[in-house]
Amino acid sequence: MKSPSDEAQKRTWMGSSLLLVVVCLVPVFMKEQYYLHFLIMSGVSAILCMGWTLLLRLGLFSLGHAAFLGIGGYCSAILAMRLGLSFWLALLLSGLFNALLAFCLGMIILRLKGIYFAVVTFAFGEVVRILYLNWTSLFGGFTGISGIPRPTPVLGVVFDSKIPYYYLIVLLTTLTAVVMYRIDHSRAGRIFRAIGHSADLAQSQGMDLRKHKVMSFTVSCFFAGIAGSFLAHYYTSLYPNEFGVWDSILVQIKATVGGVATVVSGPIVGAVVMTVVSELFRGYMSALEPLFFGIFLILVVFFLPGGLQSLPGVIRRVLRTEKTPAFSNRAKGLENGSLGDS
Amino acid sequence: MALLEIRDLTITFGGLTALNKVSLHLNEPSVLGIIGPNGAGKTTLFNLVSGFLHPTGGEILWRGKNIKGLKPPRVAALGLVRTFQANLVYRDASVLENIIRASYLHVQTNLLQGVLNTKAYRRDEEAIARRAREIIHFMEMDDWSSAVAGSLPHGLQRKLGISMALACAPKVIMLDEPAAGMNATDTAHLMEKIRQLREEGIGVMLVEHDMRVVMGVCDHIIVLNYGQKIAEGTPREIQKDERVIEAYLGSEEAVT
Repeated sequence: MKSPSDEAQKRTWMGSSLLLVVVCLVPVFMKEQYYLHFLIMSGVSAILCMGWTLLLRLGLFSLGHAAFLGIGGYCSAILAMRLGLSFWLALLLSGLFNALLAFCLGMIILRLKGIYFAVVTFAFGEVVRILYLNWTSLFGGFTGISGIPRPTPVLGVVFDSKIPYYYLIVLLTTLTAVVMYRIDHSRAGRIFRAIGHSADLAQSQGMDLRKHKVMSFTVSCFFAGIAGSFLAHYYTSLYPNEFGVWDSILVQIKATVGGVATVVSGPIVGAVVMTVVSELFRGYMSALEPLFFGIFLILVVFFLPGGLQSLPGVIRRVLRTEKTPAFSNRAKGLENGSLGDS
Repeated sequence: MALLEIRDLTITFGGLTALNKVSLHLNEPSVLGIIGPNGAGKTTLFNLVSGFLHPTGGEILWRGKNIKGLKPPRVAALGLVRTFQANLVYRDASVLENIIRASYLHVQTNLLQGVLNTKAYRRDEEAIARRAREIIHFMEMDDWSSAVAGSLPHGLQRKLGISMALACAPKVIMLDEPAAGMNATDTAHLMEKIRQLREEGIGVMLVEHDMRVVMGVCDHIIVLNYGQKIAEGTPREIQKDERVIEAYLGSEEAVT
């Protein structure tokens, strides 16, 4: 016997597979490597946003997620350059290093409730950034690290253009998405939601707050480390100021704009849309970027609380009410739509 | 050996002694009523036993073992489960989903098996969903199982709170004002359920203001006033106890 939710899950898997095929075909049609760069950065961002949203499930509001991207990057760069490890090993190790770091940090700070977690992650991000700036011998200070080796060829694939990077980030993003989806749609997701909704009720039902918070933090940061490692070997250089507070806030804005009702689809939508826009701003208009992001966030929160991912549902509802003559229904449909998806 | 025994339980907040050397015991599955005026320390007692607060002094013995200082999840794992005075439910989830979330205390499989969606995990989840439906049926909420918890009427949210506690497979359940705000029909139904729980071998500790409920279902009652236990006995004894009448109505001099 198949339950309706099984059917829905099956549809989700099929839809996602189709989307993946389309995503894989992009480089075939898009010869302009410059635009491919946008999508590669979207992938890195999507991994971060998914991890950030996973934490939000438990009511944890991280303001230092970009720091974990940076730690993954620096870790990978150092492993590859100082110890001469291959990129593939460094990729895995920087993810694991991040996970270990998050585990240890989490054991200490995840006793904190509410706003304090945000404050501590914010402070942690700054401490790490200042460490990069001042520990010149290891992290290169203000000028950062450059000359990070490109990934070693694997299975005959040489990383000499954007295309192999593109497929690699598609692979990593897909992997993250599958793991995140399974977490969100299994017992772990239920427990995380329970804790996020009411810590007291969850505790009274035997759920250990710290254990589950540390768990989600570790998983979230593992993937941030992987993304950071990729980024380091893609850019082949790292600067401390790429992983500051603004970058952490960007993660939050992207996820919120995309919609945090789901751990996978919303954050990916937000990451892709906002990263493409952000990269377009790069250069002569970069000073306007925060302004634009702020306005965009406000607009979405007010008019589309479910985020961009709720847009199709809202439009569908508006169209449906369009058929009935009363004009006032249209506004009502919009209102219901946004409420229903929030 | 008593199932639950509390000896000289005391807690002070700053200069205020919220509970002062309160003792009680629950020998076998029975219904123990805890009554007293507002601020007497009834909920504080539940908070102490369930591990949400830690006592300044005294002992909490579960089957002879001191469980003072255990955190709430550990206490719940022992089989000592509480409900809350407020309507604490997972508002955005369905009734069934609420109960499923509360069912993970005694499962065989772990979260990783869930992520990997193994056969054992799926079997476990099916059993949990089945048991959740049984609980819904027991609480006679079948018609509401897919309703969103936050949209339920007050009385049903109270029932959902009890259902979730039952999903934790309690040996003793602590009900904090379950009849608060319930209408007469719901209350009568609740009393019947409490009696059924006792018959099934679940001990009940009941904090309640509705005296029809307390006198109707309790085997034994203790009365708190200003953090002190002022009386205990059967409902009949309590009804006649002068200290109790005084605590509730004020002393005779004050009345006349």
